[in-house]
Amino acid sequence: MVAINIDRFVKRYGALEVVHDISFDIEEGEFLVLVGPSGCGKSTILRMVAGLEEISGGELRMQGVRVNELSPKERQVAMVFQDYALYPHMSVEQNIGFSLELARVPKAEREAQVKRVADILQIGHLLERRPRELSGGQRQRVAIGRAMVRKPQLFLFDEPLSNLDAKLRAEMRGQIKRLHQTLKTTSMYVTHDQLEAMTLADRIICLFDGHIAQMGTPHDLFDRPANVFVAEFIGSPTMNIVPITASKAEGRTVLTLAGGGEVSLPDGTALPSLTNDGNVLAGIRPEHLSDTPTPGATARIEGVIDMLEPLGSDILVTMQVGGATLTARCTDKGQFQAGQNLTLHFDPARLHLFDSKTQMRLG
Amino acid sequence: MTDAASIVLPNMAARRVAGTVRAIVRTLLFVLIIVWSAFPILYVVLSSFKQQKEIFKYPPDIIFTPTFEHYMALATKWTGFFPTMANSLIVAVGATLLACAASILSGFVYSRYANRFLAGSVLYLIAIRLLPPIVVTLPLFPVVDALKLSDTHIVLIVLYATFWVSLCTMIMKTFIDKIPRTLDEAAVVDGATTMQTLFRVIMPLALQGVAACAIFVFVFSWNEYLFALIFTTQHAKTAPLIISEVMDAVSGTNWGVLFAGVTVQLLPVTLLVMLAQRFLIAGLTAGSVKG
Ligand SMILES: Nc1ncnc2c1ncn2[C@@H]1O[C@H](COP(=O)(O)OP(=O)(O)OP(=O)(O)O)[C@@H](O)[C@H]1O
Ligand SMILES: [Mg+2]
Repeated sequence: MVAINIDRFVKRYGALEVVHDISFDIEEGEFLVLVGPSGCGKSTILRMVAGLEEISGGELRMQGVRVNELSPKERQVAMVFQDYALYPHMSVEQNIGFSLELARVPKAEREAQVKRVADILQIGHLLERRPRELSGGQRQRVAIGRAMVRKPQLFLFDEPLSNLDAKLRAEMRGQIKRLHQTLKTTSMYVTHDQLEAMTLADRIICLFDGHIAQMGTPHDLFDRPANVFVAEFIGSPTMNIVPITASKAEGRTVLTLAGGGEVSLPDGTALPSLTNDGNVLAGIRPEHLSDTPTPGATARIEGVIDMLEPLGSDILVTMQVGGATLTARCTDKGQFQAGQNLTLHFDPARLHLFDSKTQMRLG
Repeated sequence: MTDAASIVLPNMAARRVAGTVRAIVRTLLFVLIIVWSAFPILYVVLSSFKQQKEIFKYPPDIIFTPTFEHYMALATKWTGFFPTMANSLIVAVGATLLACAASILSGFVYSRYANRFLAGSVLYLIAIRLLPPIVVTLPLFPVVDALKLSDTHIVLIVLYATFWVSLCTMIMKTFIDKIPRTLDEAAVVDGATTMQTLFRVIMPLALQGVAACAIFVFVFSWNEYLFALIFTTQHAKTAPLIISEVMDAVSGTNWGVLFAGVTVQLLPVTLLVMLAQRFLIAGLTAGSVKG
């Protein structure tokens, strides 16, 4: 069942339009992540849904009812802010209970509710403290508690983890995921971190400059990026994308790199119909390049190792090939050395081709 | 290693000497300022406990037998003084409350909303303060008379508050500007009305500003002379008027009584400033938002 309809959203600041005609739905209980680079309009869309920012054009419907004119409270949304926005002069208990107090919930019930939330988030022992006496992770939990206590229709998160260090971020990410599995509240989550998007989302909307670049499950975006922007944005390390020329020679397809290097494709590889006389962009993810041939028909590419970045069990191998640079993620058995020749293998099915002009996916 | 040390050491020593000299100069300046500003107050307070003939003795005695005769005289001969102090208190408290209430509201509006009218009115707020008070006072006289507000507490309360509301608005705006807007937004999402946001979230965090405003308005209203002289005669007369009467008495200035009056007059403001200091020091916003 659809809980939220975002119908042709437009946001203008004076003459400047920053969100251009964006539409999508959020299913009941779904965890939707808006991801994209800084300034692409993620927060703006979230704040329009929250009721903190006026909707310049389009309609917001919740359970089928237009709510453009309603206040955040009437929309029954709760929000977790990037900078936490805890009330510094109130204790943790008062911070979490503030919305209930405003709604005139009797004191005893308020305390019970605050305690319930605090127990879930494991901050029960901090209730008397002020925000300044808490660590970053604890503040973040209080901020989530404050949103949870109201049992909202919709949870909104605006980069809630970006102020935390890497370890804590991973931990809180797990907490949020577990929380959503327990509460199943419809959620909309904004981040510029693709890893956060991949791990948390039921569905991802990737934004670019106020437009939707792609919408789909994490797998959709990872396996079939709709354009070069999404291909490069999702996945780490970034997908290798190089300009190539595809040509047929003796019935076989040959991909020629701009600097002269060649990729030999196994017989019978079917490529999508190409544009611009075969001058296209080819993309392959580092983890899909391997230094050992896998069984079956694999494509090959030869070059010279340029740089090595060990990651522990894996190693990032950067290779120069015909003027292009490719990065591969391989298992590290100490077999690599800079300056060595190297042949990388990949499954042609993992190859992504994009139109060099429109940057859109081919096939 | 030794080379490096021999280069570094004299440098360090010189720096240490320079640091000590700076510290001494700073302390001396500090003492000078304290003496400079505390001397008149100390002189007045001590003199109020001296015999009339000792007051102008040169060099002045630091140690003497205190007398309360001037305070007795103040209470018995200048019977107006203590009742007018009550008036002063009513007027000063009233003006402080009114000015602070108005400035909190207007400071919030100037901080959180923006449009052409507001931008223009800032200039007007400041400009009106530039006029000498007397220019505003005289045309007000017939108005106050017509409203039958002459010689009432209300006229002084309103005048003093009005006189300060512009500056206090700017003070409150500055303080509220420093409170992150996400706190307002969090309150709105939590279901607060604008007034609830202002009084439950913004104001508690801007108490320093409120304290600063309160001190300005209170001290001004407590000591103000010109408006009080023009607009009050009897019923709402304030203490500074009596002090000036002591000074201008036909029998000549009774300095002992004058100093006693001034000392009493100093007490409430001193107390208020000490009380308000608590708010002025505490940095309440720490830890609310990160970065
Ligand atoms: N009040 C405003 N007036 C004018 N332009 C604005 C205003 N607020 C935001 N913008 C513009 O709208 C665009 C989208 O801003 P938004 O805050 O939604 O970006 P974002 O995707 O959340 O970025 P970030 O990851 O940095 O938070 C930006 O280009 C920004 O400059
Ligand atoms: Mg943002």
